[in-house]
Amino acid sequence: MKFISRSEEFALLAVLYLQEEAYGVAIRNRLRKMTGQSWAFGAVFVTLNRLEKKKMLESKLADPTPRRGGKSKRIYRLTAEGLEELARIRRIQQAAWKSVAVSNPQR
Amino acid sequence: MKMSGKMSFRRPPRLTEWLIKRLYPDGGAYSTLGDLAEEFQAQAEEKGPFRARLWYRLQLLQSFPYLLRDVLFWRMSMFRNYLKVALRLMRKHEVYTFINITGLAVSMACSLLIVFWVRDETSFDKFNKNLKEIYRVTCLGKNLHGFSSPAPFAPAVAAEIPEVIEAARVARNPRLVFRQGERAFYEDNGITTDAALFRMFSFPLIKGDTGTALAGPLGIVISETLARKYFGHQDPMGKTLDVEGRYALTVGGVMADIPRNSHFRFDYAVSVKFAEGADFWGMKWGDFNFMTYIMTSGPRDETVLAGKLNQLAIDHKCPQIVYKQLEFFVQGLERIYLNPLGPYDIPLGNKRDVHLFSLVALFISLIAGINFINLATARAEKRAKEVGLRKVIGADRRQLIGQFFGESSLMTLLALVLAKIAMPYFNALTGKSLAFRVFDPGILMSLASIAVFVGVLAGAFPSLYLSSFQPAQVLKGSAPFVSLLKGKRAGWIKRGALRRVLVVGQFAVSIALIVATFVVAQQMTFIRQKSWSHERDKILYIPFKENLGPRYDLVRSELLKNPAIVAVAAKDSLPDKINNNTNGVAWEGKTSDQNDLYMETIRVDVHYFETMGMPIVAGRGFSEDFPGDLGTAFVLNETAVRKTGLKDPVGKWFSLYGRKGVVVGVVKDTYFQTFRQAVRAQAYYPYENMTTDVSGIDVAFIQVGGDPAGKAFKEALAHIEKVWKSVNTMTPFEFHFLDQALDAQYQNETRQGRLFGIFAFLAVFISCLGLFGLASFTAEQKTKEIGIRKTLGASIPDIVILLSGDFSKAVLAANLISWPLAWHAMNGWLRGFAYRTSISPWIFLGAGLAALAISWLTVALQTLKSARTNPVDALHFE
Repeated sequence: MKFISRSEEFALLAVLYLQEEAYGVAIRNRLRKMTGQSWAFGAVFVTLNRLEKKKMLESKLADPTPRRGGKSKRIYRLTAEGLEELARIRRIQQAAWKSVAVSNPQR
Repeated sequence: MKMSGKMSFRRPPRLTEWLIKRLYPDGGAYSTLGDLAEEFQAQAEEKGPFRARLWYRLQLLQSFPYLLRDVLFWRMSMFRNYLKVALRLMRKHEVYTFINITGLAVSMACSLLIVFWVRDETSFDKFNKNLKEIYRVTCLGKNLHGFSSPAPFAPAVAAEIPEVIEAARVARNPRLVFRQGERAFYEDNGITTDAALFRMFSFPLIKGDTGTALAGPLGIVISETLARKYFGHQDPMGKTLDVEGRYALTVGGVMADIPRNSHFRFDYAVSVKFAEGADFWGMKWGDFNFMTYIMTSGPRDETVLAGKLNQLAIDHKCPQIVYKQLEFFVQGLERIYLNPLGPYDIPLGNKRDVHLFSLVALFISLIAGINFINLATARAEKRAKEVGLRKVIGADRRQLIGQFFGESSLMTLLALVLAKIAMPYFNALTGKSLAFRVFDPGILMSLASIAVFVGVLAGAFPSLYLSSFQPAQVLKGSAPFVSLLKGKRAGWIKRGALRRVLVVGQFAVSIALIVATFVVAQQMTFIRQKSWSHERDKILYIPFKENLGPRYDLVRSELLKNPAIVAVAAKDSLPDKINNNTNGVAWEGKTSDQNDLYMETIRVDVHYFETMGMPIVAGRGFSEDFPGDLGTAFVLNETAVRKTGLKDPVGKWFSLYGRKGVVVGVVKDTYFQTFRQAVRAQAYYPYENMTTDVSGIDVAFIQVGGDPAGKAFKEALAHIEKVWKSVNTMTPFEFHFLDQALDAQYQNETRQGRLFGIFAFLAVFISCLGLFGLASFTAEQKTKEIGIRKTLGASIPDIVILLSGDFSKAVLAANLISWPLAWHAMNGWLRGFAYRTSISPWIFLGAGLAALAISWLTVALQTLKSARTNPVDALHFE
């Protein structure tokens, strides 16, 4: 069984969070907030593209705005597969974490 | 698209934007650029335009690795697809694949080996640090194209010509017996030279010092190998070597073995002062016995340098130069190996061979390249569908070209493997010891150039051609692909003319190579047959170096006690050598314009001619029955009689160095030296007194009767060894078969012949592979035509003739092209021999017929198969 990568997982979560506002800039900002570190543009672009090729994301073009130099936004949305994959990963992760004791400074 | 907002739009850096657009080739870029632009606005407002621009550019850099990875990922998966398609195609068309791969790989392996060989040949002497500053002095005269100069020449040059900073003399030593304790061997390969030699050439000394090693007359420098041979693991420095039982030489230096690719090599070097003492050679201005090498400060103009040398020789009253019999020239070290001066020169390289084999490599690559083109275009129609589909899916032309190039690179790799496997056999064949070093920059370069050459020839043409198809037309299938080409070119290719021209070219090359093989073989047979004696494989010779003169009669009578030994004789020099070449001869009726006639004078014992099986054509040979012969009789060879103009020579007077005698007989011309030179005028005269003539005997010939493989022969050999050991305490016993020694002179030619044979075979083989492939495609294309013809009543022979007629015509046309070319080339090759066979017309006819027959055989299988198919099978699709 193949798993999506961590960055792909974060990207999916960001898209899920942003709902209708999930386009490049917003996703990147969300990812920065989520992970606490800056993401390169290319990193975001490639990850989103790959997820789209894997059919976990779908996208459509929205209206152009002058602020964007007259270029359209690409709004991303999770597909059913994407949702399922997130659920699956979460399930597996929780099960995996439960079975071991790792010292956690926050606890 | 509205651009008028309340906020002014700041344009992101154009170049960066453009770059990003290039790197994101698909639709995503559009919105990504938008995203970037939005972020750019925010940044610009917050931190100012400068920082924003910086940020924007940084984005590109940061994204780069990701983009690259992405691009590579997709490239790789495309490549996997190409590979898959290539492998599928290979499996689907096994025959085609086999032909293409074998043909191309074999030819490339061939070319590769030849490249290795050519590189080795051209690498000679390049290891010398002073390559550009070293010259060899040569001389040219009416009777001599030589490389020798007088002994006092080099020191005078070094002292008097300012730009010459070093000069060294080199002379080949005669064969000498070396002894150290119990170990005694003949040493053939020694030189007499000056210490300067080691300062000029890069022959490093491992032990000792170049300045002192050859300072005294009794110093010697030996190679590592020789040091091990005589001294084992002991340190040879300062130890003595006994030479000929007369001199004790002190080892003053050990040098590294001379590299294999040095034009002259030697195992030991002794000082010129030693030669003066030992009186090997004349040391005066008139005696041309040494080679002279000079080293200048920086490269010089050769003509200017030669002019100064000649002036210097005139100043020193060197007679040959003063009387304009000879003139000095110089030859740069780089050019020496591949430009030997006559058959007696040391370097054995041959520029013509290098050119010839480079040409052969080119030819063979050409043949295989033609196969590739022919088969690829023949298959183009089928391949066109794949190309069309790829184009529809969105492949651009570059990718397609890449795909086809990829296929040819795959074969290059295969060829490399093949060459690696063939290397040891090639080495055995050429007598070289080439290493398979691919990672040498020069080899890599030539490898790349072969790959590109074959790739361009074999890959690019079909790929450019195939990738130019218009997908719609090809996929519709309505338009035969040739009609896609426009204008004249289309008509030409449509008729298959291009393919036919290429086949003709291929066979022309093959036929030429077959002819060359035949001619070389014919010449070699001719030489063997012309080699005088039918007993040659029964004659042994023993080098007779020691002072055995007084014991010669004893040795001879002891040897003859064995019943198998038929005759024994002696001569003053090794069979293929001549000790003396002089114009100090006179004869009855000699005219003044015959003064420059040089004769080889050879001292023999009275049994010589009968032992060697040399027929006497007039008069008689020397004999014990005529004791008066000693000191007065001469026997001339046929050439001598012709050159002197003597009519009825028997009984006429003849003199050597003023000693008058009588010509008693004429012996048939014999061929001891290489056939590249005509037999020269020779005068034989007998030893006056075998017991006192101590230094004159160099070799004993022994004729053994019976089968050389038989038991009696073996016993005779054992007997010879026993006799030798009983009378001899010093020199090692060794014997040689005369025929082997003589054949060794033609090693190069024999090799050349064998190589030609192999290349010709490969050329024919590859051409036939191509022909076979073409034939099968033609047959396939004509399936329907054949079906219809058969329904209309054509017989099987009719069909076969229809199918093979085209190829026969091509082969016949190839004959017409290649005959004159081959004739011209081979005549040029034969001109290098003094005795040459004439090229018989049968060779051409034979080569042509062979090519025709082979091509028929190749096509026959295919054509028969299609001719015999049931027309229903061919036509039931309609």
